[in-house]
Amino acid sequence: MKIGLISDFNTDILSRMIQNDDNDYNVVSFPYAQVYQSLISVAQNKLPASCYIGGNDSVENEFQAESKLDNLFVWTRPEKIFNEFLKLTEFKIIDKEKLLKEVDLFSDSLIDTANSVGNLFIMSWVKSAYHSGYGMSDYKENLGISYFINIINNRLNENISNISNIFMLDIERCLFNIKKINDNKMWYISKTAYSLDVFKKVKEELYSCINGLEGKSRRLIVVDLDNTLWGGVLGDLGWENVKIGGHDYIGEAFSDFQKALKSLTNRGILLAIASKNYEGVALSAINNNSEMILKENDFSSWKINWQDKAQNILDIAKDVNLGLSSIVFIDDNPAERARVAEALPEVFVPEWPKNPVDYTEALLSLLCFNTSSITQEDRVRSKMFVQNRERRDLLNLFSHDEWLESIEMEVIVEEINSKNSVRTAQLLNKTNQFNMQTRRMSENEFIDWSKQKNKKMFTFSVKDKFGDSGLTGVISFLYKENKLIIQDFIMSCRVMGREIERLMIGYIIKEAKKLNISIIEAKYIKTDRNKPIYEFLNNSGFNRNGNIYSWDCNNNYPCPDFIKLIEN
Amino acid sequence: MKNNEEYIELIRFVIEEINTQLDCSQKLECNLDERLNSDESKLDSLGMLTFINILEDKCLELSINIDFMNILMNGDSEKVLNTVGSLVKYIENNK
Repeated sequence: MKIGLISDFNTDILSRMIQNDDNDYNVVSFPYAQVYQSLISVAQNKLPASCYIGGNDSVENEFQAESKLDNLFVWTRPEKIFNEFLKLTEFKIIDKEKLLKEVDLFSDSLIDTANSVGNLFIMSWVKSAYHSGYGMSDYKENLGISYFINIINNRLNENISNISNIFMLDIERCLFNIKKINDNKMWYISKTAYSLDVFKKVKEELYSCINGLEGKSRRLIVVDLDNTLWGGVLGDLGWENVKIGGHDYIGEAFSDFQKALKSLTNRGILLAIASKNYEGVALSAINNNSEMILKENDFSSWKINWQDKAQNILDIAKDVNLGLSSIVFIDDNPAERARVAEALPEVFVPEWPKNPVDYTEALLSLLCFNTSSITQEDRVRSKMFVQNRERRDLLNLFSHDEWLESIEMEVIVEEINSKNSVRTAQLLNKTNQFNMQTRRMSENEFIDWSKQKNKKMFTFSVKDKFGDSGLTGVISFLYKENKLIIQDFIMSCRVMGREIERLMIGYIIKEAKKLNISIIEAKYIKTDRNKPIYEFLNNSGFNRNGNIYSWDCNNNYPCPDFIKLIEN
Repeated sequence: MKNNEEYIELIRFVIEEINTQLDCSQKLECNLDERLNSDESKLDSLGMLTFINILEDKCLELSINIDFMNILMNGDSEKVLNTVGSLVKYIENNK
């Protein structure tokens, strides 16, 4: 993966940190203080000879030929790229309109460049930490640096907010808790504007964004109970006496931590419990203690018993149909954290503060939940998983087939459009298990793809008597002559095991017949995590030849008749 | 009073930090003969500057105030910063 760095100051230290980390990133460093020239050269897919790649001192020739950058990071200081802003730092009266025009020109340049890269990250602007500006008047309208910093950040954000592959990063977050922000010696000697600690934070922020775009963000938090969700040991104190809420600073800290966990469910993060306790006792504490913020219905799964927590986390992962790499495990006990980290290295186990007053900050500063957008599905995901738990309970009463019939499923099929494209992009880029080719594309890229001649993309939304699971399936295909070739075949793990995949295939066969096509082909591309779709393809009835699966449309395909299909 | 071991520990920290920015083949080792500011050093000019920068910050934490950047730019850097060993000796004598 190639990452370009464009800045008005020397970012070689950042470039070296990224290049020499344990990853496959190849960094392309552009000469500093040539921001506009560098943006233009990226937009034109021509890299200046003075930029260098991977710590080498010159551009590798072969890079010129395939010069598209996967990610480009642009980090500037306003006084170095806007003349009007420079005047402001010299306490001159400036022309606001002129400054905004400069910001607009810069935005245009970013937008042009974004067409030639996978994703573009632009760091927001900040006033130099040491600059006192006009002091108490610095926020006065049309006067101070603080006032204009907000104005230009907002203007840039407005200009780029409709561009799906440009993301504005918050520099304030990267400077949070840093003792030494600027390094004056390094500035005067090497034009390195920030300290090592700032570069480290920026690197982590960038990785978090890239991971989010690659679908590697975490989606489930598994929490312990005693001294994690509340203070004290439930078995010793009883549910009435655990520390939560009330007029006690520790109790209040636990309340805030629970509120923070609950707030994360509004952006699609699921919660589960892995605790060494008696289940009945623990649930009665959750349900009966009036200070408890989190209630039973906030948890998608729980394993409350005296078993090994690593095994319990495996069982929770199975319950909610998520891979271990989607899980964060939070426990106050370092021995439990070490056990889970060792047994399940894919689970993210953050170091956890000893003092409960630091829990909320520790939770909300985790960078592992980064996503490029938040959809309506995300906002109700937690509710949907709770509904799934209820479905599982019903499943225990019926045979699987009876259960499928009893839940009254409906599937709505739509062609890709502006209303469903954001969620479709999420599914394309986040789904790992039921994903035939794991083709990652930005929203713009797949919309462009689907607009091409002889190409189509359909989305599938699922609901049943328990609730709406939302857009959970995508199929795209291209067709030529007598053959329809399935490109993307993706389904969210949320609706696995409900025969939706068969319905999707049946629908595509129907489409093929409409187009007078008799052969359907699907090519499976193996990844570390897409075994579920491999197993489905092998049991789908399709003929297999290596990793190519085919179906003769003259044969009838056994579509599930208990799912109502609605075409929009 | 700080002994030689403590200064080696200090430099070990600096080396571990700078190594995060160096290619596998260029990583520094914390032994007294490891070259720092010489023709045979694995550090290039920015690497050396960053090394000095981390070293100064770390020294300050131990209340050792030495302007290594000035030594690098204007002073007897060949003698002081030649190897890990020469650096340890200089810190010991000038703390």
